[in-house]
Amino acid sequence: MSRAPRLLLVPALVAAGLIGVPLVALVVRAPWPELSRALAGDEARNALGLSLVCSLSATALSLVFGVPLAWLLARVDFPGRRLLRALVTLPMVLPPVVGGVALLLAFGRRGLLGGALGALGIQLPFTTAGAVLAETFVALPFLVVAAEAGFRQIDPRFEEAAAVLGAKPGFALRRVTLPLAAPALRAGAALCWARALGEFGATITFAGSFPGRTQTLPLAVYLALEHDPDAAIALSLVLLVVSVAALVALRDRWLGA
Amino acid sequence: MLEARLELSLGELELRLDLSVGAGEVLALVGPNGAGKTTTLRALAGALRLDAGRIALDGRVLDEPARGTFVAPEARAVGMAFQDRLLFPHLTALDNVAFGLEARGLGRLAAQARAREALARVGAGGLAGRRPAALSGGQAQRVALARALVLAPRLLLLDEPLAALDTLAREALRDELRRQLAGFAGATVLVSHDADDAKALATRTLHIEAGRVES
Repeated sequence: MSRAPRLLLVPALVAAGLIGVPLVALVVRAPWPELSRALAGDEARNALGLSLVCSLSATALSLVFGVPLAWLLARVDFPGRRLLRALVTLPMVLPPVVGGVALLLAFGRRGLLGGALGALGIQLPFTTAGAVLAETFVALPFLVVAAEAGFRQIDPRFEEAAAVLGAKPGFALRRVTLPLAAPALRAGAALCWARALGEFGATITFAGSFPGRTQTLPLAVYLALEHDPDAAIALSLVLLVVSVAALVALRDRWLGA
Repeated sequence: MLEARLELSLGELELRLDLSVGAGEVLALVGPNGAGKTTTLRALAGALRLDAGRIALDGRVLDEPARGTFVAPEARAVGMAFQDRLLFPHLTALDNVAFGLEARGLGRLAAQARAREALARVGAGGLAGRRPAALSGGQAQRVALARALVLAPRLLLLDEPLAALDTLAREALRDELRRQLAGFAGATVLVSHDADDAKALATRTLHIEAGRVES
């Protein structure tokens, strides 16, 4: 351990405080005696249930479509691969509200694909499916990035060995590639789910805030802050606990150093 | 009977090699790093495609670019023990050996039963439940050998089977290999950078350098 120069110590403490103080405040100021009442309300329970359904659906969609995409990015050299990777990771840095606007312009009633979807009787904006789509848009890159790194870490000679031993590509994928990538896939899925659960900007823009249909937990927190601050704090605590749990689940990967 | 005329380019390497190995025969390819030894085995196994030439095993053409023939690796009757063993780290020794049988559609229990026999035949019966990380170099090589032999291949490929072992394990494994090869009915091609190992195991040795036979 080296002794820290004072010049670094002060800003480092400020940085820690910047993140730590608000989180401590949330726990200290929480209306603990009121907590069960606040969480028992219909609004809170609906929001919590909806949030679980939407975030788990978004995670499932991300796994189904994101894992194959991550494998392609990791293993197949095709023209435009770098561009595609940049495009897929863009939502990680894009302001979510911009994502919501873009989703409206693509899937809204007058959007690029809205007409075609409408003809099929499918309406996405301001529906639960729309909330799932918005969360997937924002959370999918977290899974793809983690899964691609996982696939890259696998020695390709294992896949070659599997083929020489008689495995068709599908068998090798199921029995060798995916099991070897499993730790990375689990970490990516946890991160993706945590991001989906906390999604606010894209969801409220694309899906609105209808209780029981599109009003997920973060939206409920924001709206409750005006008329029932205790409920807002209680719901925030729930999200905090979930986030800490996700971080603990990932600790070996990220906090192991 | 393996008959092969190999022509292929890979990076710096220009491979031009004619091989003919009869049933029961053991051909050793000896040469320095980069001579094309492993590339030859990968081409025979189907992990690499020829640019030109022909590979035939017991009269069946496996690769002949001029005629557009290429048999995928999983459809060739070839068993291979790889350099660095390449045992699947997430599977036990038993499941590593059963892998090729299950890939060919054998049920899990039947595959495991045959894998258990194959492990016992190479003196590794007690290792069935271990993961590769818990195996010594010599033990891992025995499991790799069982994984290749359990498929009852017509062509057996051994890539540096005695490399990276201490003297004692090397002696023991050399004896084991000699015993196994004596009882193996198909053709064998083994690769080594060590001329003594080749002499001890092979019925015939080819020295290769820069992708060609050294005369």
